[in-house]
Amino acid sequence: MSFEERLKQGEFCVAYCNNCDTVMWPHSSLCSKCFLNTRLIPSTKHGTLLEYSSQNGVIFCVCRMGDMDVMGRLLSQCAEGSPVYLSRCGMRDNAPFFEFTPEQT
Amino acid sequence: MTDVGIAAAGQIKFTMESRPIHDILFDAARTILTDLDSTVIDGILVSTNDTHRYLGVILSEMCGIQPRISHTVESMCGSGGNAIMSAYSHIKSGLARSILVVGAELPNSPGGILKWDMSRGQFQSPIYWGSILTKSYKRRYDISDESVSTVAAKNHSLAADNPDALYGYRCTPGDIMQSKEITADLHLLDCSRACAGASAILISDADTCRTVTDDAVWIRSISQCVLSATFGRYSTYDRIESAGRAARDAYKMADITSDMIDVVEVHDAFSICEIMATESLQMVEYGQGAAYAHDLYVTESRKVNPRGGILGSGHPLGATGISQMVEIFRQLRGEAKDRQVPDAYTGVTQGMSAAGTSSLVAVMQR
Repeated sequence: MSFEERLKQGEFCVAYCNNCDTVMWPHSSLCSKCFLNTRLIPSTKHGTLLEYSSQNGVIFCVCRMGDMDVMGRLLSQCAEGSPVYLSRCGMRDNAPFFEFTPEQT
Repeated sequence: MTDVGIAAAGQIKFTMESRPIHDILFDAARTILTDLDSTVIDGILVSTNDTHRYLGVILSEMCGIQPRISHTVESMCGSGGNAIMSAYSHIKSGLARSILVVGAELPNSPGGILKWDMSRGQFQSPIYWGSILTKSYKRRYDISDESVSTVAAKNHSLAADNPDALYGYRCTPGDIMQSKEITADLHLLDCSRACAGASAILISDADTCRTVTDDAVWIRSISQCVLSATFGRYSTYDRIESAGRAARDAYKMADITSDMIDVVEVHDAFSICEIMATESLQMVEYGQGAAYAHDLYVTESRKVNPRGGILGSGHPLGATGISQMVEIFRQLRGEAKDRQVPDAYTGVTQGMSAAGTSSLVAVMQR
């Protein structure tokens, strides 16, 4: 299944290179370092809130998940630097969406 | 290798009027061609995000020119700067002697959205990255909303003296903060507006420059830094790293330091972008950009974004980078009328694409 198909099913994947351990985000079928084929693997769901703002009550944010940053909706407010959890993701109107929840510490 | 200069420049008024893209390209080209022997032109480049095809060659035919080189350059908001860089390279290499670069855009341009960048999730509009940069900077340096909005007040006020600007009215930071709240960190007037507009510039080798004008402006350097296409690859969201790297290279190539800059046009897509740009261009230390903008505002200085920048002039994406250089051309020749910076000798432009993941800096001198 493609990245988009797996995302539609609620699974967030990244492209991983078996040869050199590079993670490609946004995903790509070829590795940017060794140019060999990558494969999709499930991403971690745990991250850190880097920054957020809001619009009409909707909080949008940037979260760092491993070595990659993802913009998504933050379902309830927490401080920058707080741990967050990717609670839902998918495709809507042909665009990906990601929703984060503050993680209980 | 030859020196490369700007022999002529012109532009049309920015509006919200939607017209055929080739018509406004031709309008801008005409501002140069009416006073020029067009046989000196051996290249025509078009910069735009418009989806119509083959515009470089179409414009060539409309202008009655059969150039050796003609194509279209697209690089989102930085298209104009990239087209100028291509023209500069063609001339430096000897592939051409004189290239007409024309940029244009319409209000409904698709160039503000990069769907490939999935790191932005559903938040594709530029207002979201603009908000993240603004919030991150305010938090890092403990800067108020009003300090950020001073940039917009300054640039809208400066645009009042620019007859080609989309906007142009004198206002205060309070007026900016009274405008509609777009996000918690952006007011409407902190945001540039996509519009219709076109601008043109003739880039030539030294001999051709001297046949066209006694008063050419010389491009001492031009440098681009591309970090990524993905917004989610910023290492920190409180500065535009690509602009800093491009500036360092451009200054080295031109053998200048930032204290030699008399006038600069920076890419103020949002108020915060000017603050970050003046820091990246080494005009002030990191964290001092808002205070610097405040000083410029209260002293009515025209040193930064004298035409009103993108906030005041409007943002026809494919024309923006060229319009910045048109302004520096006029400033260095003493032709900027009511917005003239006295005794300007060294001018700089800074443009960027895709949320600042790529930047281009050029240095010009008389």
